[in-house]
Amino acid sequence: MLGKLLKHEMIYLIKTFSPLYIVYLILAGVIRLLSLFENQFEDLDTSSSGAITLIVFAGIIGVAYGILTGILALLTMIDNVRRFKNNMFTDEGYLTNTLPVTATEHIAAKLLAGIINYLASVVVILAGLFIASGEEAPSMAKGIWEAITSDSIPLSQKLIGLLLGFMIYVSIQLLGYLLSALGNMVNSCKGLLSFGLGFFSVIFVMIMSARITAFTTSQSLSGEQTILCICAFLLVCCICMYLLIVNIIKKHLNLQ
Amino acid sequence: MSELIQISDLSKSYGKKEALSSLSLTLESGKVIGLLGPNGSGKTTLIKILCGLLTPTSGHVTIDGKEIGTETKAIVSYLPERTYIPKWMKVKDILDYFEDFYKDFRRSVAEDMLSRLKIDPGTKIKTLSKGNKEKVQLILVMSRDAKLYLLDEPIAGVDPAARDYILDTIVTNYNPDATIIISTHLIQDIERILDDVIMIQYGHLKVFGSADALRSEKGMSIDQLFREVFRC
Repeated sequence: MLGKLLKHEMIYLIKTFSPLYIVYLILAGVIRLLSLFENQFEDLDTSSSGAITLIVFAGIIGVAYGILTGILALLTMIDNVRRFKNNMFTDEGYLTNTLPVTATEHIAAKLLAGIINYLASVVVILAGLFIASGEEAPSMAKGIWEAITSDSIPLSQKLIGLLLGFMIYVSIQLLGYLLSALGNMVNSCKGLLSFGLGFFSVIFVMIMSARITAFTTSQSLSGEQTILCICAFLLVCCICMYLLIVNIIKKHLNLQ
Repeated sequence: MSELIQISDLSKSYGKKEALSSLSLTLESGKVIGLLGPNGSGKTTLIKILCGLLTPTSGHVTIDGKEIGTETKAIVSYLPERTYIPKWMKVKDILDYFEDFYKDFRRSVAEDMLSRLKIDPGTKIKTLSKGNKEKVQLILVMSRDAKLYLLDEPIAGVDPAARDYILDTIVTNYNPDATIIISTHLIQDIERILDDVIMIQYGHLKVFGSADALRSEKGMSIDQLFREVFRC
């Protein structure tokens, strides 16, 4: 059933995010075109309405491209949590929660789909940057490749860095799911509850991470070992959040 | 006919409010059962427990000898009062969805009913009228070859012609070895199709029996009996 859930998640993501990714790549293409005519812009009579229109257009495209570059990956995370909440705790929950599927499978499917979409957004952003940079794309690609394969940072550190990034991503997603589930249990002040709990959760994790770092430093552990300890702490948090979410779905569903 | 649903001493509370109180019932397969009661009597709570959306505060429920869970969800077809189909889907998307998750889903039956209603499978759900959305949901539910159908207020808020369509769809498309539980307070329209009747009020069982036996014993229709039992 997990495979089927994932299939339908991917259908939703392709229908929803493909247009956005295509628009982003088109914007990158337009940026590239505008940069090709950069020299001609310098000769423009800026008092003419045509020139003003062109400058405004270029400005809007540039701002839109910049904003999307900054938030595209974040949008995938927000949409993933929003979709979990809608699927499980709104009217759609009458369909989702009566499927012959376990709560674990629901959570796993959403998480996996979210990871795939997040990675897709990163690929699209990189593709957009390559398109926009034009002739500088090969050197940019070379620079990124050299940074990844460089011997100055040991492979173990790169892998630990990836592990930390993965754990942070999963923790944030599960926190979003948990806040949605807790909001479902109350009939009023859902937003306030979710914001408050989310805020204190983040503070808690930051304080614990600082304490772990202080402890590992006092024990003369290496930076890699410190990060592994933080990853283990995040893993424990994820397990606790997962168990809470499953418990709420199984025993405290409050569909209106 | 065999026992399909066993309910023993079932109670459900929301805080201090008791929605169901020590309910005990045994329901057989192959029956059309009316779950009747005024607003707030506990009908929807009972149906939600049977389809796994709520857990009891105490008591025990089994369907086909199994505890409520993924196995019972596979054999229960549920029609809620609400529209639950995601708005981003087209009609064919939800047909694919049902086909993937329910082995007993009969796609050809669903497509045939949709074509008779002149609903194009390529239509987006959000462009359908409220009535057509409800009909699509009903078609999805009744196109399953389930052992238990749970229909929560299927005819509330629809016009008389639509009510007749809904009742005819129910009668002509369900598995005759299955059980249908229809929750409603509009008795007159469904009385003709009922085999058994359950009447509950304030979470307590007031009446349970065969519709024919109740009519001959009480000398009145089920609608009249309902008015008498729940007189204000």
